[in-house]
Amino acid sequence: MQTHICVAYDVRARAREMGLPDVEDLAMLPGGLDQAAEPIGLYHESEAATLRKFFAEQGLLMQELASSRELEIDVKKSADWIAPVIFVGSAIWSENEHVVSLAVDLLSSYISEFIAGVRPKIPVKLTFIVERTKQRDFKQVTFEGTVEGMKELRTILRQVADE
Amino acid sequence: MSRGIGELLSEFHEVAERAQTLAFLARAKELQERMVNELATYLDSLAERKRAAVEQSDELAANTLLSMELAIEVVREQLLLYVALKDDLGESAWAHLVHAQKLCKDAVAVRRQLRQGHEVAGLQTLFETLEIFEKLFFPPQVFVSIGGRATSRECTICLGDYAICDHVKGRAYMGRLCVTIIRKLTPEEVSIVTNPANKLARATHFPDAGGMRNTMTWRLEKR
Repeated sequence: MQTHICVAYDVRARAREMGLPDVEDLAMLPGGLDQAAEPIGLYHESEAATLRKFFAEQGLLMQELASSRELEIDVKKSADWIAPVIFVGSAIWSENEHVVSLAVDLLSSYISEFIAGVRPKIPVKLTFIVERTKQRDFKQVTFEGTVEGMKELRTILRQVADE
Repeated sequence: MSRGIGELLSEFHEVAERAQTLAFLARAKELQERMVNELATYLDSLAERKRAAVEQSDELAANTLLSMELAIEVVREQLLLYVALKDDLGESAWAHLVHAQKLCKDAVAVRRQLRQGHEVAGLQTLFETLEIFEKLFFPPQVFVSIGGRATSRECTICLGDYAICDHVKGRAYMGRLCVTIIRKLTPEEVSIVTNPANKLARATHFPDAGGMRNTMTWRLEKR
């Protein structure tokens, strides 16, 4: 299991620049949000809709910044699974901390059920952008590992948020 | 219905076991061919029973039957792979291998959904075996894949826009697996990839010695 942490772009500012709604404390980000020159450059990862539906049927409503009908879908040229980037806002830790645990658990379930399948130890790559509670800046947390390694994710996300 | 499913499962296990007895390269080709035909007939009977379950709106039975169909189809493709290799049909054998791998993944997905003690370990082991076959029986492939942007996808369960329907790709609904169909794709690139979404999309020939070299058989074929 590997976790990489680096500086991330200002998600809230970029969403405003792209004419998107205010970003809530748990959101699925469209692809290209970090560098698109204009909204037409945004897209959904191919499995974003499936992940959103899976979360919803398990009771977790995650904001989708642009509806699935508004953006084009990125069709992957390989079988590698690319998860949509998930944003974790600073307020969630004081208001709804359990939601982060739920999101990580559901992500783990989704991967086990839909992605791992015949390869239970398949490594996955997940990217989160965490808004830090004190500085209100943003850090990107990239996790690479198996589903088993995801148990530590919630703690890592909290640590990054509180640094 | 649970008693009916119990009997169905016993019958399925008996058929699967007899088929798996022949699922080795060294087994007699004529026995494998006979089993391929027997499995086709059995699949027809499963399909018929699934239709009846759907008519009775019995989703558990329909999905259980789907799970059985997929598992039997995996073994059938595996037997067809062996027969094709014995018939010196390398490209056909590759297609059967790819189909077997895909069916294996689908079978595991449906079994996980069913839970209730449906085992996936056997299918996971079979998939690992098929991956070994890929390396053992076939030369390395050059896979080609298209990347692009799609404006919409159709759900195969409700035929509606997948973005807004309630179905989840990879789930079984009343005996059918939900997949999505891309209707409008703007291709942006064609790439050579190592882990393709579709292993049937591969380079099949290249120019050589005045003809076209078949990448699978290495035979020189006419342009």
